[in-house]
Amino acid sequence: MSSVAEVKTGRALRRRKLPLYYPVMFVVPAFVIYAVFFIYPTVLGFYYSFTDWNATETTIRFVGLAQFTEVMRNPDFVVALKNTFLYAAITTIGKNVIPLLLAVLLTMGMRSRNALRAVYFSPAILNIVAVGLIFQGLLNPHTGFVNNLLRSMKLDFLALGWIGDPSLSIYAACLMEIWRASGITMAIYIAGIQNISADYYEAAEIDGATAWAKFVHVTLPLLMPAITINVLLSVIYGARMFEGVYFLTQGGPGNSSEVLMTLVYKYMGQGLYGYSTALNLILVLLIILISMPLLSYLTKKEVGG
Amino acid sequence: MKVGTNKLLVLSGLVATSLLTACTGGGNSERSESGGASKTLKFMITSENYSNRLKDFIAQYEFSSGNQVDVQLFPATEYENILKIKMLSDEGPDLFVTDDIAMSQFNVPQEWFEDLTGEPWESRLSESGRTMIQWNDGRITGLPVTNPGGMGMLYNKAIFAKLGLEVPKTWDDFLAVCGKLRQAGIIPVNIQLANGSEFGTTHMMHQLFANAELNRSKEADRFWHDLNTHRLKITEVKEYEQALEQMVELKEQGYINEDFISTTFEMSQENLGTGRVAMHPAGDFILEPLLAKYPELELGFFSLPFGDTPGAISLYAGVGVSVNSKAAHKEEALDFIRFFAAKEQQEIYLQKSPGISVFADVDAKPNMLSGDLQRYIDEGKAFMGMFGRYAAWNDMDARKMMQEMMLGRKTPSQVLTELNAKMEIVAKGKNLPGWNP
Amino acid sequence: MERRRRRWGVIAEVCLWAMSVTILVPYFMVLLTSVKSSKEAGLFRLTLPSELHLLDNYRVVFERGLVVQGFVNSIIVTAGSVLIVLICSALLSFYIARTRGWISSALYRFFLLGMVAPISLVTTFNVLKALSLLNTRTGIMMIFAGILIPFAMFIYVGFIRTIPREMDEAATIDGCGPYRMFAVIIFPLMKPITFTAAILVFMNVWNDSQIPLFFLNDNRYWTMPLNIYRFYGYFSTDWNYIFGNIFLTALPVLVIYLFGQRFMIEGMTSGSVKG
Repeated sequence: MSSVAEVKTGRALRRRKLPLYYPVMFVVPAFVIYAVFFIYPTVLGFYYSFTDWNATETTIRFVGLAQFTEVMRNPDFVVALKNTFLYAAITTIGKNVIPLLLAVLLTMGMRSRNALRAVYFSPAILNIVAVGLIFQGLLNPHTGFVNNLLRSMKLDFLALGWIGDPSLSIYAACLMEIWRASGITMAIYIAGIQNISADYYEAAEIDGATAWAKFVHVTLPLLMPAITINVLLSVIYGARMFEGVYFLTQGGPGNSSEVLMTLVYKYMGQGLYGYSTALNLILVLLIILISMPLLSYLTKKEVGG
Repeated sequence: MKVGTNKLLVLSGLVATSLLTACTGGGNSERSESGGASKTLKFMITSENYSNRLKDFIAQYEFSSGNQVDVQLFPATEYENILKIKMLSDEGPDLFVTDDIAMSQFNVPQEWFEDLTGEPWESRLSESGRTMIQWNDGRITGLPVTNPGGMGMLYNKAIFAKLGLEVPKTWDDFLAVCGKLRQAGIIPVNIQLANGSEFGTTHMMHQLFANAELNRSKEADRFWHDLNTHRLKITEVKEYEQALEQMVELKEQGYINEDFISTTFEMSQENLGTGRVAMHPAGDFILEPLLAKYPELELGFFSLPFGDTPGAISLYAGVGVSVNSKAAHKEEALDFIRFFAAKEQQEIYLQKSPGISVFADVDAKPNMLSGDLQRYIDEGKAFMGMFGRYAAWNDMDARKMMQEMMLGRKTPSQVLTELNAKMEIVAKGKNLPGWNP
Repeated sequence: MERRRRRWGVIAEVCLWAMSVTILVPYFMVLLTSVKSSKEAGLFRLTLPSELHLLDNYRVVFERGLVVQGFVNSIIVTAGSVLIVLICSALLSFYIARTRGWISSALYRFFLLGMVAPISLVTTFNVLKALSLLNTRTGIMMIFAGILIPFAMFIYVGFIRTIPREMDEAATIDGCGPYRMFAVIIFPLMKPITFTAAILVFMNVWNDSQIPLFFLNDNRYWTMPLNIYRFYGYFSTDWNYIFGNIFLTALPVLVIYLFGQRFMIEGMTSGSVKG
């Protein structure tokens, strides 16, 4: 194709050329669907956070920021806020550090490489509700598989309370998500590493670099685009998480594993729609506040790398 | 660019339509056709409550009326959300269930319910039956599809007999009974507090809370009115704190199962059925699944003592079926209820799952606990649970608080303070009179 | 040198297989539970079943769980969503990646915002109702598309930037209008990334159990993940059937992943994450 193009380019300079333009029409299908089925209902939803819309009354009144002040005064809000940050941070670290290591290992030469890659990717193909149910069976402090196994190996001190212990429940949820989604970030890292031309490594070898130095000076910088995607998506997804917490602990015991999305769901279930959408809006603003600077920081690193 | 212009028109049309119709909230319900054509009623119910006897009844109804019933099942955890969303957009079913009938006056919008007061079967309700299922304002809005009943302490009669134990009449007696059970190597009281199963413990709480109403006998209506208008707070009702302290005492004395935080509804049944525990706070709703697994079991029922008194039990109205006030086929839905209320149908229904009936003329087959339950009702020691009388009550929050309390993370007075704070949020959000400063 | 590298490779391989136990054990638990009796299944122990209920259990799962019906619904909804998302995102991303100026960067940011906000149930329900798309599989597909187009766009845009502009120019010189240019020349070049995006969308839609639950009211249209709710029963929850259904739901995705894995890595390798 390219050689033909080259020949034709010459001829074309003497011929009238069709203008190269990118019609706005390309944008329309995506725009319509996105605007109608997502943006419009979501923004409308945000509007309701300034009203007192609730399930028991038919009239809706505008109340300004009243819902937001009510939210701030809710004792569960502080807990959920803290948990949301914890969850996003821990799952992001877990879903990026371990899989990066896995990716490095799984791009080395080994016979069962493809099988191993499939195994490590596989938890991601399970329905998240299913994973929640499975982990309930695993992490139940008294009847769960994990503790039964630990006890049979005489490692009783490791048999923690997991989903039954209020101080551990949110970490149990983090563990589940790291288990479930590491495969996805790993796959992206593998792709990124495979993209790195061998020339770079050879050049580093010639300079006498150790494996560690190669990793730090060749692999990491050239992986920045992958790191950007993975870290950003992990943070956003972690902050927005609902099913991963709800179907494991329902926010319990007590309110120890509530995150912002489970609170949104809870108050929606109680019919406080204005209140619930106010919580939702707070969450969205928080995510934007964190992810926008994060994105520019990471992309800056990308360009530099 | 003809294609482009068309698309733009479609786009603006779509946006305009959705803006207009979404704001006004929707369509007209279909007019039901007159005449003898077979109608299809939409019946929304939770999968957990879709029992075989209900299935049989629906088949009977279809046969005798010629109409069809389209049963839409949803898991209990999502049921209410889905129902709310549908009703909000006028896409609600003709018939729907709520858990429980008395609680429904607070939980979901009252406008959903067609007022069934004045229906031909209403006069046949017994006095106790009526008190159970009516709303605070006296309206009748549904009939139970799961048997109404009472919450008390279920106990294993065989174990009690073997150890020569009697039903305790005071709290000290009760503790003594627990002591003897524990000596015999049996866990005295079962506490069910796994995530999602916490209702097993609020059942104990509700029956203890009933003492507040018992102690106020004549002033009961006044009491509820004050609570409902926020003139009285739950933190100021001393019976509530005492009740919670009794519960904590059980744990501190070591009279409960240690693995309570993992104990689910199924495990409670196993504990009770295998004799691992001697007592479990529940109602007769547990009998059917329990006896199906452990047919040899013999259970009795008593009220958990409160201080020096034998205490009271709390009632529940059961899961009820109601008619959507905006039902597409309202007449047929009302007919469905009338057919259900018929003496013959009720007797068949209760034959399959024995319990008490809300109708005076229905000869209900009693279950193992009906005798005890009826006694408490007759003696005036049975009161509707808090969830059916207190507008701001939030059972979900209470359940979570039970976990915190039994895990030792909150004291009874802290629990009541936090519950009160949470209820204020809900009450204010619903603009309940008296709650907004 | 080579031998040393190979030795490290073997050590890594062994370690990785050892660690993979943490992944394989839960699967094993799912499989074991799915062949136990209902009562035994509720105990969640990794014991061998006292009686093997393989055929009985799976027969019940198929009949009561309506697996075939669920499968058909899942295929329709997922395939439809994938198609819609791919076509829309490819076109959109091509425009954004090629055009300079404030419109395209504004568009990019506009769609990026879609990744941040979760959907609002009640208002979305009303939109579907207004468009008479309630309880239709088409409506669901539109919702999924609305949610997933931003993610697909995010992946596509980076990739398209690696296709040299000369390609476009060459195509127009050959007398292609922009539509033909895209369809005939550019889109085939995007095959690898399209495949990657397709798999990600597929996985997201196939496994989603919240959106169909809320917007597909009719039990008849339920997709495979929702069928577990058919086993929440009057007497108890039948965990053995639930896990049987979980296994069957995961099977098609596993098959697709195993066969498509090669293409997926190839796709991602060909420049989607190039620096």
